[in-house]
Amino acid sequence: MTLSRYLVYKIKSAALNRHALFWGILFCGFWVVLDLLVFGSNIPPISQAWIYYVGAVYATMLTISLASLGISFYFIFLYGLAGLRYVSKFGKYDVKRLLLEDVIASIVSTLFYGTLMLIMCIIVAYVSKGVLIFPANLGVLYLSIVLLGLQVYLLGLALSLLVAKLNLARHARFISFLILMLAFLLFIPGNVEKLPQYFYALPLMGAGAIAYWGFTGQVPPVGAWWYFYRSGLTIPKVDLWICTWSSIMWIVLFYLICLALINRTNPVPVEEIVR
Amino acid sequence: MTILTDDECGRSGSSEEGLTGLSNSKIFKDFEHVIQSMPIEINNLHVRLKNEHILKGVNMRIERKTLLLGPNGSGKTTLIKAVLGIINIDDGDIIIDGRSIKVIKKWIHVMSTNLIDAYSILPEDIKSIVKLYEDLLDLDVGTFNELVEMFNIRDVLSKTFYEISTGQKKLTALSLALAARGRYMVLDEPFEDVDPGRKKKVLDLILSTDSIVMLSTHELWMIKLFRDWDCYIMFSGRAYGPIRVSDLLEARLVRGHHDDALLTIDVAGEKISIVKGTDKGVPLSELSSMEKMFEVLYEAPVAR
Repeated sequence: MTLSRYLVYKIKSAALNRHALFWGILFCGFWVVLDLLVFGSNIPPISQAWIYYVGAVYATMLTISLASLGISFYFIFLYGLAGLRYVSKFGKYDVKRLLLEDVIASIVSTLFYGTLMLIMCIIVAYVSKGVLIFPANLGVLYLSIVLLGLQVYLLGLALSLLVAKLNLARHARFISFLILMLAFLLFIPGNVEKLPQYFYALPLMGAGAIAYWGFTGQVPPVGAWWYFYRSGLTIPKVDLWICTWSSIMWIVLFYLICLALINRTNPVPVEEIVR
Repeated sequence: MTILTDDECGRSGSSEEGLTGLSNSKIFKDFEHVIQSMPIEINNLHVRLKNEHILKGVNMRIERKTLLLGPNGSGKTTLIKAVLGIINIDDGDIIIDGRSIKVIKKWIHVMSTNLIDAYSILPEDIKSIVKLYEDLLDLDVGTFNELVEMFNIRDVLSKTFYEISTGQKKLTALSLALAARGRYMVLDEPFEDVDPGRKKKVLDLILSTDSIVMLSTHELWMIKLFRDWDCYIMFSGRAYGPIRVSDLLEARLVRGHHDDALLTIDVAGEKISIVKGTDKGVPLSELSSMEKMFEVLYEAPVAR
């Protein structure tokens, strides 16, 4: 099966969407620089504290960066639903094939953004301390990117279908930012010490914790990600089963919402979205 | 700014002739594959959008070139979206070439359209959309290039649909519809917002295509150019017809029900009859647009 031009253009559209570029690269890049060059300047360079700190920065910024791609997926799907319907009937490919290419495109773009964020963290950390830090477990790290990617993709799709179904096109822009707002919740375990394990059952949070684990090789504490090692606090570790299963559960739930709505929803006229 | 090259479109489709010398038959050389098609049958179609009952039991049979006349808001675009499979049908069915729209998939060269929504699959520039649809619909990029040259709208290619004027949008979408080479061509208001100079070119292209065209419009000034076409009139989500355009041109509008009426239409709760062979009433050919039908309610004599 050869891949169509749709896949290529979808990757291009998602990765170069202005929301994704601003929030996913500019905003996150700015905070990576600020966190690692300014706020982390008093941490010794060759220490576990520095590795945990960079891991926390990476996990948080990765989640925000991929959530910004979720906004991109949301808008593209909201915009393209009518075209997808027409093409799946009177074009070469059926809807299953087009959605499969959609999923592949979303995973490719999330891997691209995830890798870009990783390279950014490694380079800025090196500039800050002169020490190269590499992820402890690249496999786990990329697993977390895929889990995050699928969650933001399906959440973007589900939200766009809900907007169309509930005639909320005039609030489309505000609703898109719900994905980003959700990702910003990952600042809570960075700054709050006492958190229940079930915090990591929220969408995106579990996969964010897995990203921390993949980067540092250590299971993250439930809270105080930014400073627990330096402060000598004893904080319980995150339950990675909760993280993994909640991530999978959210992917399944968002998928089921999409499945339930996709054939029952009429596309929003494109003028309403552009306006 | 250059138009898509042969390399970019992956095929050799450009003509050595200038567009001024290009005959319509040349543009439509690829339409030789067009075969005798079965009609589009629309049976008791009901569509609700945003809790509003838009189409209220539409019945139509499109077997030849057909005009769809109706004022703004009568449901023409909704009907077109339903025929293209873009929106869901609440009740009834649309049968295209013997197949229900609900089960149609992967059916290329059957249906083409100038409806922008059909080409809004990704928010990319028009040049990219053309390349994308070359792959998705087997769109003939050579024909598209020729039409873009003919309309002199080359500068739209680097822009998205929402960065160009409404007239340019209509011409670009018409070029896409013609390049898609569908056996049926559904055109939504193709003359609207097009400048008078280009309207003639649009008209010539539409008249010369071999596809079965279903053309919606609320403008009446040009219907005399479609004398041998069929026509349906849409009002408040209902379709009335078919009637020959040539008959329509000779008919007059009278208020109320008339026994010899070609059609009796329900307009805002009152009946208007389209009657041929009477010297009373308002000649339909004198109305500039379908919106004027509402004025007939106050001006036309009552049928006896």
